[in-house]
Amino acid sequence: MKQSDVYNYDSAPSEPLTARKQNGNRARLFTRLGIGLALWVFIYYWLKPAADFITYDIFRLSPSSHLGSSVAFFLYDTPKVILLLVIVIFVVGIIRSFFTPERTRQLLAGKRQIFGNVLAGGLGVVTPFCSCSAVPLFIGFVEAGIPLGVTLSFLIAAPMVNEVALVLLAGMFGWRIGLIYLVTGLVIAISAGWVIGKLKMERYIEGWVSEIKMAEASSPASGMTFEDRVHYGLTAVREIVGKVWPFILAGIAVGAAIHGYVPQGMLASFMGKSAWWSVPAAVLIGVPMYSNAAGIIPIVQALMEKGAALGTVLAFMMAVVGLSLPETMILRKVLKWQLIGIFIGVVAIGIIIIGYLFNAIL
Amino acid sequence: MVKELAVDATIEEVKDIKKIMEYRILTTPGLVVNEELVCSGRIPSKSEVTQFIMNALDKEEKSK
Repeated sequence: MKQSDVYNYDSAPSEPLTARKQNGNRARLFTRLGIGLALWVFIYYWLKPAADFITYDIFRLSPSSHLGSSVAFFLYDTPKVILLLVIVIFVVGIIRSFFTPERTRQLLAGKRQIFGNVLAGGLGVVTPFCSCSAVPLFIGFVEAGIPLGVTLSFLIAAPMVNEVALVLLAGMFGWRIGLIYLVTGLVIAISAGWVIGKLKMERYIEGWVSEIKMAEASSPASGMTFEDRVHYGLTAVREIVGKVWPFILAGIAVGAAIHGYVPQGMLASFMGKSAWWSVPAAVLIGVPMYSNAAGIIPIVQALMEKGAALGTVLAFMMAVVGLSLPETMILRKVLKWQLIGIFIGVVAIGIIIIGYLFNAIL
Repeated sequence: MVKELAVDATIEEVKDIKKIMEYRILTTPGLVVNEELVCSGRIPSKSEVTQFIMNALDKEEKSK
């Protein structure tokens, strides 16, 4: 029996369907997507008036009061961010359905430094995998002859540039900041991987890794139809939004409190541009913290509003999201302490440089 | 699940990373039926698992 027969479950259940029935299904799917999209636009458009109406007319809070501005902020930002998440995660989900980790491994095999690092950074953003799979992925990559530095570029980019963070940043600060985050995150992943590659750290990979022999990784789940991809996207929305909404709620609540109660400019003295030590301090505080982007960004927005500098805040966010101790410790299974240390060091330095850079130019 | 299909099967959870890698898995969780990797990186639906088992049975049949 050929391999393809075994993995062909995608098309198997639909085989008895006639072509006409399939077209009908597709039409229904598109209709539903269209209705969903129209509903989305409608709700999004009415959010601001609705939030203002509830705050100022139903609760009778004054727009100039602390409580009023906090409540309006909370009522408007929460649904807005969740709406943005739904649409972007759906689109990202569809894109991701084209990139399996197995395919990524194939694409990266045999690539040299620099070009390999750039490719790995980009693929790290679009390849779906949970951080709990970092160990098998690492082994699989190294085993396929992908250089250590390239593999690490991939593993750094994946958590560092995440779609939830991108949406929240774009939604709350505008697309320019979202884009800055995307590009700088990639630059850090690419250059950190490149630096580690140059340091020739291969001997600090645990010995047992090289003993594992695996042939060409098999790749189940190929031959997805467009409907499958839509379902994949919808599943991603359900899973990711289902997981992050409590963090968003908590983050926005804290953000709303800061928004309403912390005096303007209060944070400028220790989180502003003039405090040179604020960037490394933000990274030091951020690394041991483990939160997802969803919870941290609304707080970050409120901090910026009160005078914190963008570079400092970006560095803090990247340290929290991209360099978390628990996730790095998972890699301890395959990397020796020295390499873990270098890994954290190089990425942290990259984040600090980015922080200073933005404080200097913006 | 296995009972529903009325097949004899032993189910085993593999936790040792070295063993996991022998099945050429890149992302966990993975599902192996009759020593063959059928699904990885996600949790398959019930109907998919049924399909996997049916395929494996077919294959056994043919090789006899």
